[in-house]
Amino acid sequence: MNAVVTVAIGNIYEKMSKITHPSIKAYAEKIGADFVVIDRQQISQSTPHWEKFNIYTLLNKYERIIYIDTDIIVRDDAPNMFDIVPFTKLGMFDEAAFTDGRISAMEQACKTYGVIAKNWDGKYYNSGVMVISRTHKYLFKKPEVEEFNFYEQSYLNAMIAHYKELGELVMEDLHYQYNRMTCMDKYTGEERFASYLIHYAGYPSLEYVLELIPRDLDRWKSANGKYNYKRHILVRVFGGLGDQINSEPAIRFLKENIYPNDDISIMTHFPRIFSHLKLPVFHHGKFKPTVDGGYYDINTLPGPETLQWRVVSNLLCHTVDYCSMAVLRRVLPVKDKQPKMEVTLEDVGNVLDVVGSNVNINDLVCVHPGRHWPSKTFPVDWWQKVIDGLHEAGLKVCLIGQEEVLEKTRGTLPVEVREGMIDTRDLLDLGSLFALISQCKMVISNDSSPIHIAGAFDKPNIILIPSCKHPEHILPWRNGNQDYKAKSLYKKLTLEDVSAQPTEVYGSLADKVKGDILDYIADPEEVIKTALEMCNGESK
Amino acid sequence: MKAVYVVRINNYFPELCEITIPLIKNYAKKIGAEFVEITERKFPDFPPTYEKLQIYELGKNNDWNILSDADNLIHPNAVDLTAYLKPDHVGYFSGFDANNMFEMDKYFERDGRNLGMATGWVMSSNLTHDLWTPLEFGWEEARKRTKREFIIDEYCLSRNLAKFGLKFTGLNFSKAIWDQFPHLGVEEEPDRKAIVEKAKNIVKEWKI
Repeated sequence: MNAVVTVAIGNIYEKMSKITHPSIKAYAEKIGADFVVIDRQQISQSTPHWEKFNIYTLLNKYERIIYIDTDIIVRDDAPNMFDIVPFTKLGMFDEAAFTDGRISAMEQACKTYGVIAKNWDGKYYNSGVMVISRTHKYLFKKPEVEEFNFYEQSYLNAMIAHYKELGELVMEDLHYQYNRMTCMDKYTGEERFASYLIHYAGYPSLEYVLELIPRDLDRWKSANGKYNYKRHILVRVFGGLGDQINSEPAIRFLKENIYPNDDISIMTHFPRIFSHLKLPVFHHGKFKPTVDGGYYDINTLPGPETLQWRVVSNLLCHTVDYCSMAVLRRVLPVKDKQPKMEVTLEDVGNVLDVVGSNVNINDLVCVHPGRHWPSKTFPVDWWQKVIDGLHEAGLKVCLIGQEEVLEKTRGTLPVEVREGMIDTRDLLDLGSLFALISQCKMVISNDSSPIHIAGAFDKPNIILIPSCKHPEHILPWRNGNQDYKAKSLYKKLTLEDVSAQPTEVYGSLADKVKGDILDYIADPEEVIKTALEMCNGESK
Repeated sequence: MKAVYVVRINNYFPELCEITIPLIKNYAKKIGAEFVEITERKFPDFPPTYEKLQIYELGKNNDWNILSDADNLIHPNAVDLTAYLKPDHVGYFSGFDANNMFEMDKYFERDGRNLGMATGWVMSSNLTHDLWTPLEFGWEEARKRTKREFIIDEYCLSRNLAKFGLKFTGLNFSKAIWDQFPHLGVEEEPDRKAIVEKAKNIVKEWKI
């Protein structure tokens, strides 16, 4: 004979039982078990939670017991947990990875109860739902001391660890869907209604829970058995413009391949990058959650404090890969690594308004004399020689770039514009810059966002002057490779001077240059010669 | 497949077409479109402008159909508009309030947008090809529905926009785009010599 057991003692739990017990009782009936409510304080000296240890006695009568806290509701299609957990195993949900403070709770419980668990595997089980067999009776002998440590939970975990270590107890980890707590919101993005058992542990107050549970029961009722709920995902896009462009392939893959029917929102400094994805896109700070429950929260560019950065930093791999690891925990197939962007006729019109309706955008060689870290900033004279040389060679030079408004850490260098050149610096919005680059003949830049924008389009040739990152970690993938209409020109990389050994424990920065930057970057003549070869090659 | 159509019935205005047609042809080539001159009458009861509706049959297998009036100039560097127009939208340069020029019928009323389309430049895709559906009634009935006979083509296309609930967009997002597709407006300028002179001046300014 089997039973479903719960504890409901005290006024507030009595109120709660009126709301929750019908669903627990219905579950008991569905699986052919008695429904047993412990509603009087019988063996505990402190909180009623220790009344769970009545299970010790109940196991004399019942062969198997599913214990369910009274602050839990059960969906009508919940499977029989006796079928899921083998008789010989104790079924509980391991919450350690999703909660804080469980290690210290275990340490304290072991100390209090004199348990030595040298080989503790780090698992810490929630005692709100337990699938118990008679063979586990020994675990439920109530101790003399009732230490308040997540109520009785840490004591039980100390015992579990102890008996596991002795080889006398084998656990069956229950899926979170059988004990769904709010701590899972941010790890799954799933609405709690998608689980079979909702456990209201972790909410601010029992009064709040008393109001919430009836609403939740109504949600289930209104579903009429069709329990399909969207997952909610919030993607926070960080970094400079180039970094944010490089996150687009991963976010697109997320939308198209991983969660095609779920709710994905994007926060970014540059909403325009993602306009084609037809997802809600917000400026940072403007996002307002629309669902009751948490979002699975993704940062596209994890910082130096994160495990991902310690495995491989953004400096030492391609940002498309870095972002896809952060967003998807995978590296994308090559064919999916190319960013996509939308260009509208309005963008094109804006470009033509700036460059002139007579100008053939297809002829323009866009040069971005970028200013950022010292290791990415080349001398003004160097850029001047490049643009003058291109101009004298008959190419139509068009300067591009934007002064960063807020931090002013990025921008363009003050090169002089000769007659016949076009200067669009600070005149184009992002969409217009996309439009210009999408149609131009060539983009020449240091490691900066125009290179990544060009990567979204087939037309522009690319000349990259890399310095502090390896060119293969910058150049975009187009048509399955990084050499498509693209070249990188350099003598050596400033990256080579950076301490990037795995044994470097203090980290290292790549923003400085040791010595003269001209010893690293290609000569202007080589840039001009290569640009001519590529442009002429195209015209052939 | 793309096509650019120009209606030239009865050897329309040859002195002007000598200037405009090569530029329209050049644009068609640039965007990878076939250039088609509609010179034969298929709807002899209607005014010649209605021959634009031949595109319904001629272009039914195309991805894009573009109608250009013969009095349009197109700059050699003009934007390939098919690269930017969303295929579920009809594109045209200018419009007017339909109820100022046409008798409203149930389609206009139901649609409620009151869209009158100037047909000097019209673009459609295979998703919006219904735009070119000829009228289901003859000229006797049609002539009663417009203020001026020669705008029967504009009546038909505007009515189809309403009848089929087609989405539309203007194309003149900037002065620069407008400048790349100047419409000489022959019907508004009776002095043919002046029109030809205007066309020559524009082309001269373009330095091509």
